[in-house]
Amino acid sequence: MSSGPRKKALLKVIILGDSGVGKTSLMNQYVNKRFSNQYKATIGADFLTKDVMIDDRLVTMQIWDTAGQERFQSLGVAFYRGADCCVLAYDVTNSTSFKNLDSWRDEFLIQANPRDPDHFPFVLLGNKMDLEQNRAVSSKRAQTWCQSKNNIPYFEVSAKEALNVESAFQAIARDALARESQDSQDFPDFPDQIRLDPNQNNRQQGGGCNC
Amino acid sequence: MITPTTSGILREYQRFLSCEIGVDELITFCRTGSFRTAATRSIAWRILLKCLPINSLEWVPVIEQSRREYATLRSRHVANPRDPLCVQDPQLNNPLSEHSKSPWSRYFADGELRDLILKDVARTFPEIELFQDAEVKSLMCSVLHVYAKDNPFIGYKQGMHEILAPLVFVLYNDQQLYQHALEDFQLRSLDRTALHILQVLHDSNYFEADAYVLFCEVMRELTPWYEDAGIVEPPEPHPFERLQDTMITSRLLKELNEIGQRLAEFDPPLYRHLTNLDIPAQLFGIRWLRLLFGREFPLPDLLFLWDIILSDRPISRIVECVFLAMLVYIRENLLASDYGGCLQFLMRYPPVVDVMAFAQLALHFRAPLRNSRPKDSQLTNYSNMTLQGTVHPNAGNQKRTVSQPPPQQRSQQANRGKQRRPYRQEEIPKALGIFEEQVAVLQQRLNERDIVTAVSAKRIEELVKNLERGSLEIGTIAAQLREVGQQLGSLTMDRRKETPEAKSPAQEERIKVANEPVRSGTPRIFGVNELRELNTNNQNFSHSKPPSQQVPRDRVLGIPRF
Repeated sequence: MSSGPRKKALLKVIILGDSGVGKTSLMNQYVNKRFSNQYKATIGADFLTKDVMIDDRLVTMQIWDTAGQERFQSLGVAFYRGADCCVLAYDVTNSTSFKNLDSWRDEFLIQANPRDPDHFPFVLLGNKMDLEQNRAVSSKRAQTWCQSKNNIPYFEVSAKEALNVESAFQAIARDALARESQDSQDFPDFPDQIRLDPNQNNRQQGGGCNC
Repeated sequence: MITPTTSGILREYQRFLSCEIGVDELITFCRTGSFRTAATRSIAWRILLKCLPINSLEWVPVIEQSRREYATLRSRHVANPRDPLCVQDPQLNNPLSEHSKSPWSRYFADGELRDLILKDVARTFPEIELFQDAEVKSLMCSVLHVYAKDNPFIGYKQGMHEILAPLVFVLYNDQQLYQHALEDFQLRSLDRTALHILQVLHDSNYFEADAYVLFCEVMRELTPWYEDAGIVEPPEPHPFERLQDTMITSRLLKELNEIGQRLAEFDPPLYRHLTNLDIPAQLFGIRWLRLLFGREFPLPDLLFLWDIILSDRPISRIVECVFLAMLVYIRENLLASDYGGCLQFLMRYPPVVDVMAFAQLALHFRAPLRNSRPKDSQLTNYSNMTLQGTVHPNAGNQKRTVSQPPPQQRSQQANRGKQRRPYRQEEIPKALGIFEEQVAVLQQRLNERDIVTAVSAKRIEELVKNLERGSLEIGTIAAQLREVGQQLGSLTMDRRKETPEAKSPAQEERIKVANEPVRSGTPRIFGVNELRELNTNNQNFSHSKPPSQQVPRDRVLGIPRF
């Protein structure tokens, strides 16, 4: 229905993944350029915003960090609604966190219910790449998975050492922004307005009576 | 006072032991903050949570019974194949055995649960020394494990660890205070029966069992907020109805929805503002409820809030009122913020300056006729910093305030940044009161330093004597000197930044006590600028203040105890 740029460039990004893979650390590294090993477990969700320039355009990123144990509806729909990009995070030293990516992706699609699930922008982040000696998931394996999901962009990052975090989030913002121009009506929360002016009514293209 | 005085602690015990207090008095004590400096909070909570009867003569049998029950539960649920009490048949007790009765099969099956719990326990209150202790961590893991196994329908959920933590803290704290009182001969005047009751109650061998019993009772209240939501298919979008209204499946989300609706009664403009921004309580309130506000208040204030909450069971009504009071308390900040700004205030709740006034507001919502509403002028918060003392993400975000603030708010914003006006006549008594309080706190701090210095000097002297006589080993002397050094070092504000060296268990014990956060009720030290602002600007502090002048919330007074 609507084309052209939105009034405000606002991107809603949701980070999902198993407990302890470093979602909170990634968000804080990106927004505050800080790392701490004193983060507490996220309960429910957390939220931070960051203003960034993407190709000369000022964009406000709203980053939603989630609890690794939250599943199935427990956060409520309001939380997922209107997401522009979903960041899936796993820990390269923990193969279970990699195996669970499928269910995180599926669950997001069920909860957020975007119009075009096959082309909704996901990004995969493999965190803790600084712990190379403990690696349990090879880059190859992760890349193969990404290819099988319609070529999800993949980044290996380290929130601790601030490796690739900035560039990964830049890519996330870019992806979500590119997506925005294609379709800003992903989430059919509100049905289209019913226009009362008969001349302007573009919904009944055939004209005449439908009964 | 930071530590109860000699007569204070004795008097506290006597009040409980002689059954002087009834439940009603107990509730009044809770609401008026009497336990903020007490050594008997754990007793009060055990009574309020019905783990103990009010009559102290029944305590010993009741508590011994509950400890026995826990021991049984624990041996049933925590599989330890290496335990000599386990089956010793090598066919069964064998890691490779696939027999269903093999203790190992259960042990392996529980592995995932153990990992899950440990991951959270390891991240419990990283700023509090007690929770870094390996024994405390293992105690918490066991309690949560037994609870999860004994309540398979709910299991372990993230957040439970931070419900358990304050309970462990209170039990530990009271046990320590009891031990000190005993060692200082403060309890000499108690008879043998009374001493026996106190001894059983504070027996540190049963921390785990006692924590478990308290935890189960608190969880009884919180279970609905930890339950899994049912899985439902997304319904067809229905005009005029938002998804958040139609798809509420869990009791937690229902409760949050109801609280959101009640805000409409208490503060219609704020309700409209949050509704227009599409910020339902579900978006930010999950953590508030699941942790019973554990991340929104510093521990001493939180324990006081829990006094109020636990004395008003079933707790859902009072919790709702605390929730609403939190919203109303920062209403001016919220009304002046847009979507992102509001969420950042709600996700990083700004530190409440006066928790007593805050509690009064919550109690007013609970029973408006019985409890008067505190004057709005007492409601102040630090909107430019977080609970951890870092700069709040909203600080300096003035341009973000897009919504139309009410006229009163607007004029306030216009005033911001201008010269502070001098105190008005009617403000002087309050300002003086606060200054006097601060002077008293500083004085007290100096006194405490004197004591610590004197004790340290005495210990060094003794060590020197030992050194001369050669009656102690060099290693012991070195350890003790290091300990003295640490005690003296702990007087400084930045003690937490010091890198801990290797310590003996005995030292750890002492240091743990020394580093414990201040007992509740201690006023913070305010910067002079903060004080001025506290008095001249009731709602907001200037955002232009450089961060270096902010006093982090956790820099409260702490005194090491010997």
